[in-house]
Amino acid sequence: MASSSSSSSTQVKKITLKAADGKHFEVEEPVAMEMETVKSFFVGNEDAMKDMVVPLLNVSSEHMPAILDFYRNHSEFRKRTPPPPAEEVKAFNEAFLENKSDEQLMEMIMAANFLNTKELLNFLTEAAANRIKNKSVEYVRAFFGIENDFTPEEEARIRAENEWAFDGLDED
Amino acid sequence: MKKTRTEEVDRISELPEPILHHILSFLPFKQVALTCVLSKKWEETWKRYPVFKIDESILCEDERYREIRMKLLNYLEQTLQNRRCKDFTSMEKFSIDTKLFDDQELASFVDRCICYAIGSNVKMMKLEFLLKRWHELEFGLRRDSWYDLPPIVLCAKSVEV
Repeated sequence: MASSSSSSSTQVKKITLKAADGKHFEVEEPVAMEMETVKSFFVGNEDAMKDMVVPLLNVSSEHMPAILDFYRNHSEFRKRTPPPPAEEVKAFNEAFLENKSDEQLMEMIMAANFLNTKELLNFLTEAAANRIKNKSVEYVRAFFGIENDFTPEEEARIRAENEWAFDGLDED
Repeated sequence: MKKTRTEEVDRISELPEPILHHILSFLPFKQVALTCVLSKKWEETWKRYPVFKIDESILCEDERYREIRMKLLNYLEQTLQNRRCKDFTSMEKFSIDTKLFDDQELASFVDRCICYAIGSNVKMMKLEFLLKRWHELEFGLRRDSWYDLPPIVLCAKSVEV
């Protein structure tokens, strides 16, 4: 009783999702329902499911396969008895983040926020935090491309006020 | 398609503030406070950050750092006070964890902070005090080593127990 095999997939109800750039994705109903945004689309409108295309305005088709893969795997992890070993989940999560640039990570956070899925959003925001943990101010600015709009005097003042917090950060 | 440098600038600041706060929630409190130095927008984001966590890692409990500690306490108090005065978003969590409870100055600081937190409609408050004297006195606590919780705590409407 693992995930549906290819031979039975014809019986599984599918929902069509449309990414921001217009590309369509056929997704198994339980996977699509992982996304609160999609779910709320059908509340009180269950009959329409078959032919409706759900537009996902803030999700680029570039990230759809990875996001759907996350839902499929994590919903399987949740259902499995006994629960999967922590290393297996960790290995999946690490592989998921591998080769993702900071910008791609940010775009996926926006997508997860729009799709309203707590699990994915938690996972991605923690990943972003890990990339800046204990890094210097300059590092964090460069990492996220933040433009420093303080005058040198203003910055010096704020730095002096927060002197206590600079202790223990990585050097640049 | 390749994006130009200007399009890439400040991509994280485009994220809505609740998401920025969510990212910050995984960082040590000290580093969260530091984000106010990043830019003007981030300074505002820090001011509305709904969690306040004061513990050993930021209190420099060693007696030698007393001066730095007092400076820090002043800063934290001011931050809390500003929040309440400007009617910023209500506070989600406020926690204090310290072993330094025979320090009168710190005790009165904690009193005031608790009042500010309650003034900001804090939802969760966690106070952990470890009294040195607990270990020093083998036969029971001396009455004067107790810390009296400000009575306002008992009538705080917003705190979920």
